[in-house]
Amino acid sequence: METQSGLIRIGKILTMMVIVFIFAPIVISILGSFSPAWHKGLLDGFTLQWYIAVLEDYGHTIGLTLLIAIVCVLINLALGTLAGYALARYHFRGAKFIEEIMLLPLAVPGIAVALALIQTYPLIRGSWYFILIGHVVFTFPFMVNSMLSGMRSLRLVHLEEAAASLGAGWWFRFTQVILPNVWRSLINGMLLVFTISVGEFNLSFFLTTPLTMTLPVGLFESYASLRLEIASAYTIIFFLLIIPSLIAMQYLSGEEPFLRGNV
Amino acid sequence: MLELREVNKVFSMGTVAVKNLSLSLVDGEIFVLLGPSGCGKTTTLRIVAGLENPTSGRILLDGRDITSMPPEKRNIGLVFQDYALFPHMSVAQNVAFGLRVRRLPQEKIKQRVAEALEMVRIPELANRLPKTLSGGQKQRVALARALVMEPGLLLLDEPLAALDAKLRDELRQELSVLLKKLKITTLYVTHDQTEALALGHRVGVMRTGELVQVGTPQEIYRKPANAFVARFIGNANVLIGRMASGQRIDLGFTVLEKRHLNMESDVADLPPGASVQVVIRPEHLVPANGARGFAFYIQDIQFLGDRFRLLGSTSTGAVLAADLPGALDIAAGMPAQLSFREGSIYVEAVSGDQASHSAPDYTRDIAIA
Ligand SMILES: Nc1ncnc2c1ncn2[C@@H]1O[C@H](COP(=O)(O)OP(=O)(O)O)[C@@H](O)[C@H]1O
Ligand SMILES: [Mg+2]
Repeated sequence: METQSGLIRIGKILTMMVIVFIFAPIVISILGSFSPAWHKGLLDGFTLQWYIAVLEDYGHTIGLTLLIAIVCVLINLALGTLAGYALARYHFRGAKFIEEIMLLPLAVPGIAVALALIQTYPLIRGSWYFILIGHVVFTFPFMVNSMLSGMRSLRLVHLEEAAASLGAGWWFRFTQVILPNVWRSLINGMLLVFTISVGEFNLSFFLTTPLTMTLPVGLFESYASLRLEIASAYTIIFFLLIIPSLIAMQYLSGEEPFLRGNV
Repeated sequence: MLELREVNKVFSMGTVAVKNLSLSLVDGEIFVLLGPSGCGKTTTLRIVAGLENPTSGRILLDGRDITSMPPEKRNIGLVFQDYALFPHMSVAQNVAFGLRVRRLPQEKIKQRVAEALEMVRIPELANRLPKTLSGGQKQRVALARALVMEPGLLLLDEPLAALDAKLRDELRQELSVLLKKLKITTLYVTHDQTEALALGHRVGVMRTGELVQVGTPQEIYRKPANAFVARFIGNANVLIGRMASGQRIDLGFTVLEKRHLNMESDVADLPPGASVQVVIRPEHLVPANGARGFAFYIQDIQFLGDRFRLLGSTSTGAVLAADLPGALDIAAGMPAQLSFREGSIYVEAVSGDQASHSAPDYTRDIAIA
């Protein structure tokens, strides 16, 4: 017991240290973003000028990032749901293989996806569609994965068979039995895709042009040009974009799933 | 009326789940498919429901070939082994599901759902979610959900298997009354012989995908088609004997007289020396009470409430189970003198085929459930 409580205490201290280590840069960014001069902190007063500067210089990147993320989510909503459903529902020949292929990009770095896209579709380079395609390719596995795990844990095939024996055709079964039971996985997948798309750097960096700059790429540029106050304000805006979906995901996974098990 | 014609099902891995199964149900009949786990009962049911395609063979319902009709078009009610209730819907919504598919008016749906819940005696559960129900209650919901559709045929897959013994008996009796009252044609699947004998108008015994015997519960009990059926139904002792003179049968440890045999036994034409299969049910053994019996060395005594079950062996080492009524003055380790109830033993000639088929079985212990 002695050593165990000792271990627990050490564990607590370590956890605290990790938290401080992680949050320190965020706190410093927040302070920096409101201070007239980075190195002085808030001693010289409080200003919103850097936020205004970000909106002037990089406002378009925020809009584009949101646009890409939202379209990416919608495309994934349609494709990912159907793909997840098909993989969970039908044990067709090669289903396992297709599943592996679909999940492959999870293990492939964004840079590789970007270079492959550039070589495959050189013509549409320079359009934001290009970045969008990259994001869809990159995030699709996450969506499919989320749907698959939700559908498998539900024994969805079984419920669908019950619905069929009660006369329900495919559309009725899909909308009345399957979707109401997998909305949690669906929303989780959408939030995941949104967060990944908004924060995606590697791929976007390679696919970007000055006209199609996304937020993380702009952020990189602002840090690289050493305008630290602007970069700080920019970082905070970035956080504000993704934190709500991170919290929502946390909430979804923490809540007791009410639809599991043998029913 | 349901008819299965030479249905076969081979799964992709090569498992033969159903072999050449032909069967036809009369309107209003409760037909029980009985067999050990893995013998292909669920697969047969799923083929009838349209959830599985047979590898070959046809399914006819009321004379119409429905072999390739999708399940949602068949109007066949199905109650799954593990209920498969819709978790996001209340009990009433579960029951209403099929009626909503049929686009019945709201009022009508409400009325029929209420009737169905009344029928399975759970009207008070209408607004509960499935996850808050016990196993027996879930089973009632599943039943109501199927019955409310007034299906032409009802399929039940081991509906009582997941319940504890007392609840199982209760629900079995209720189900028996309900199905017979509704006169609904039912294909009922179970591995429990008590359930099969109690519920079925007819019983079909299945073994590794094949139907080995079809008959009324009495026929199957009194005249099992082979050793497998005899053991599976009523835990019979199955022995091999040899014909002796005067229609007597030599079992080695004793000799069966003609008066011991039941009506179905027909040994008149068998020559002395022929091998016969002898089905002795535990309740057909009685204390000899001074008459000529055989020695039975008791190894174990089990109290079964209304009777005792004795396990022991004879002088030739044959293992037997005997059921005797209460008030016994014996203990394990003691020899007892047993005899046979008159007119009870079923004897059948062993065909060459059967002998080679089931011979290895006799060396195993008797099956006691
Ligand atoms: N989808 C399937 N794929 C492959 N084999 C199966 C499948 N379903 C059942 N089987 C096999 O078919 C046989 C019969 O199974 P089943 O019909 O479930 O038996 P029962 O219901 O009598 O226990 C078993 O050997 C089982 O393993
Ligand atoms: Mg089964």
